[in-house]
Amino acid sequence: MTLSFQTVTLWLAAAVVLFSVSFLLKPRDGWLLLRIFIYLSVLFILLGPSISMRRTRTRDARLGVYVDRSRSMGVEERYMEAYKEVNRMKEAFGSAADLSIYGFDSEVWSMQKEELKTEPEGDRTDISAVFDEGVYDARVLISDGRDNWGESPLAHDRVKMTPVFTLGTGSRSPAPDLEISGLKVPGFAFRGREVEIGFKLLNKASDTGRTTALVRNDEKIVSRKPIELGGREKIPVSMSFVPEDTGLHSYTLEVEEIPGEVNLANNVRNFQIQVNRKKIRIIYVAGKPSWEYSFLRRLIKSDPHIDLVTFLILRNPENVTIVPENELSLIHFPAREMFTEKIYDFDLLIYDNFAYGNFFPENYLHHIKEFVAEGGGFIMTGGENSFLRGGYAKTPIGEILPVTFNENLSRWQVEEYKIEPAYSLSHPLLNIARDEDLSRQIWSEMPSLEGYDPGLEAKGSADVLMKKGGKTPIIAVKNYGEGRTMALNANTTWRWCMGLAGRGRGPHYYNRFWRETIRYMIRTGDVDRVQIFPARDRVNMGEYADINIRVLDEYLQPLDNALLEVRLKKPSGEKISVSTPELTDGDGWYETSVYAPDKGEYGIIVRASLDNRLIGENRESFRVSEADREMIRTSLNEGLLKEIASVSGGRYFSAGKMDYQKILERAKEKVPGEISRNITWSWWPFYIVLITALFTEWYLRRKRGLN
Amino acid sequence: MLRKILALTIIVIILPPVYLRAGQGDEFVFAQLKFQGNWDPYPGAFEQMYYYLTNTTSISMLPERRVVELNDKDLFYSPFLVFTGKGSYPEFSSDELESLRRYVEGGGIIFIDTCGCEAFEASVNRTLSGVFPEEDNGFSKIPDDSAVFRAFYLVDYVAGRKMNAPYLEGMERGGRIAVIKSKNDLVGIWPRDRLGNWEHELTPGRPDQRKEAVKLMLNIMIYSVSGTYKADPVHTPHIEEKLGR
Repeated sequence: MTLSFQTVTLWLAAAVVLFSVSFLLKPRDGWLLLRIFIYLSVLFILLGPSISMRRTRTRDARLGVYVDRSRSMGVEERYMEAYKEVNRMKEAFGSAADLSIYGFDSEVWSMQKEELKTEPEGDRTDISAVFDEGVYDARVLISDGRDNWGESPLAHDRVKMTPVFTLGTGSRSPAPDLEISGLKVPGFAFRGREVEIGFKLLNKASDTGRTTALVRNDEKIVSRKPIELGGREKIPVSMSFVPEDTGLHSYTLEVEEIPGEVNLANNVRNFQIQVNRKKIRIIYVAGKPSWEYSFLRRLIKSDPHIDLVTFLILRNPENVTIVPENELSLIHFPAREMFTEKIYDFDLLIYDNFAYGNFFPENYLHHIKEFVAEGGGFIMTGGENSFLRGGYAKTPIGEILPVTFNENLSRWQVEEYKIEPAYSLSHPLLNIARDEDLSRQIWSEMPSLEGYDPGLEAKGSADVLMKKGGKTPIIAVKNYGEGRTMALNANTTWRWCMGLAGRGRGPHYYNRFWRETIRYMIRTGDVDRVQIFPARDRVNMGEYADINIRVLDEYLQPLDNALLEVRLKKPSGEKISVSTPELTDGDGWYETSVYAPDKGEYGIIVRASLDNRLIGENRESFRVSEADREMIRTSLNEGLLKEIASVSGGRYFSAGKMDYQKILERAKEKVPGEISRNITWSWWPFYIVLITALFTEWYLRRKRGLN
Repeated sequence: MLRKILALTIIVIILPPVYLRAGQGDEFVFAQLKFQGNWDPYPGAFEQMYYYLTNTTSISMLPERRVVELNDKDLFYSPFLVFTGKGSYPEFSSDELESLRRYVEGGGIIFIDTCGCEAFEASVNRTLSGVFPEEDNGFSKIPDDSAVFRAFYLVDYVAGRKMNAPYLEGMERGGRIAVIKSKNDLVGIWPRDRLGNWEHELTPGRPDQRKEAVKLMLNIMIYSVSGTYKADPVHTPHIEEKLGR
């Protein structure tokens, strides 16, 4: 027989009613009624009037073990600790519990043994996802507690349903990390002159140790600087080195890792610097004195940034001499020295109507070819002693020039003609007005030239910038190796200078054409005069991106009084203006910052001008991404893990101190079972009621004299 | 020396004096300014200059003299302009003065030979003050070590048909000597008669006066197409050595 609690309650109620009624009825009737009650109570007791409950487990305890697979677990030895703990747990529980192993980051998945051994790679951590996966008697959560995605695990409606035993891995203090930020690089330097770069070293864990910054050019260390961290969060660092070779060089800035540092990607930045000589060095060889030579020499000599060495052939073997040699200012032409040895110290070689055959052997021309291949520039201008008539066919010069020679057509033809741009007006040699439409107009108004070789034909690899009659190349350029060559099929560009002066326009465009030509040929034209350096390659959403800008004048000298106009192109394509950059520490450096609220690629367009003249325009981009949540804060969040354990009825353990028995007991408690309840003798109210009833019945009999 | 000059003179006489070409190209042009007044006191000088220059140097030169006025468009394709004369001349118009200014600003070089004529020199000075009114002191002596005196020949002294001034004067514009002035009648040394004799006597008639004058005149023309070439450091030691310095 089983009785429910309600049955006992009814029984008590019945007792109270019978007692009450027994006093109200006639004595005999009341006594009788009481006696009936007593007999019934005795019978009730005899039949087992006690309650006992018994539960029977229907299965083993089930445990869900959840291992944090986000990247922050890769810091220190966290994941290794977690891995070992899972193995110990498997061993400890054995067959006493049914273990399911899961991995989680922003999602939860069942994890196989092999995967457990691999490095964690998750970009997010969502602990609340753990509570949605599976139904268990207890959960074991192994994590550093760096929850950075989704709702708070404490707000999850299932957090209290199952006891969660949490195991914290990692150190409570932030992981050591150094980051190179705000790198400032000049972008252009002179060979043999010290180059200074600057950056801020972010010491994210305020480490007090030391590190070393290195600058490498290829594998060679060109600068090394020890840095005392001293617990400072931002350490300004400047380093310097002296470039030894000209050309575009790639450098790597590295900061050596500090003990325990895991994120090494932000310890390295790459940059490039165009290294030139302090002064551009040009050799100009002219076959005879001429206006072309005179005007071009004068222009080049007037440029303080150029060292010019000229050799002018003033006399040919057929010329007569009317005075003794000692009354002539002529010197020996040092062809061997110049073209086999010293040429490599120069940036540009100009042959102006010069036939080499009277002065040196053909094998010297190999050095010129090599000079160009290594980055030098070579210009051959026209004249009766140039190109085919200069004997350059089938020589190394013929190989590197952008034109070939048609022997049947070749002759120097003195004839007036208009030049025709044959290439995009954006080309630096053609865009002489810094505006394509205006440049087109200026070229159309340029004074005519006189003299060309109709036998020149452009090579397929050449860019023909100017033509005559839609056919004959007048200006053609070509890359050869690291250098460039130009065929200028004319020798009267001085007419641009004088002709424009005659129209009251001065020599401005002649000067600009040749200056741009020189810059282009030696590739300093490749150096952007407006240089943009985002402080970081990647910016987190919602942050300000610092932009460093450097402006150089046409001689690549720092320009501190430029007017800058900055526009920002958002990932959506929308363009907005940005506050005017401010000059920082001089030396041509300006700085501004732009707000980056959206994820994606941002473009920065900077236009620099001076006195209403455009200096240059450039664009650069940087990526805005979601923050690297895993690496912003990496220290152990013990508080969260403790709180989860507390609200769920579980317990928090430090690594290596997990109490498996406690977990098992608690889990077993949660195992559902069959429950049986019985009324037992041990229920004392029965006895009180029964004794009271017997005493009452005895009392009534004595009082009323009943037997 | 005299034998060589004689040989050259024979060549000059035998060869046809001039020939015409379709274009100028990059050849040296001897341009002479024509104005109202005695602008051409030595019409035969050019031919001599032409043959001396082309036979002794590598310079290619148009064989004809180009006579230009200040309003000629050809002026601006003639970067070397000889401005000589005798006697005063009427003032140039403002347009002509502006044209002369543009010519110099564009890169032209003017060689002024006053022929030792003070009236002409006064007119020239007036013209130049109209062209360059901002110049406080337009002319200065060209130093002895200037490339003008070393352009091809090493000139011992500043000579001419006359010896009025032992120096040349120059006016610098844009870092170069844009105007060269001689008072010694340099052009006057050149003319010959049909028999090859010098037309004009020299004063005072030093033995090497003509030779030095020839060297100087040729140097001035060569300077206009070679610029400061001979002032480059690569030449200086050699030249100083030859000069015995």
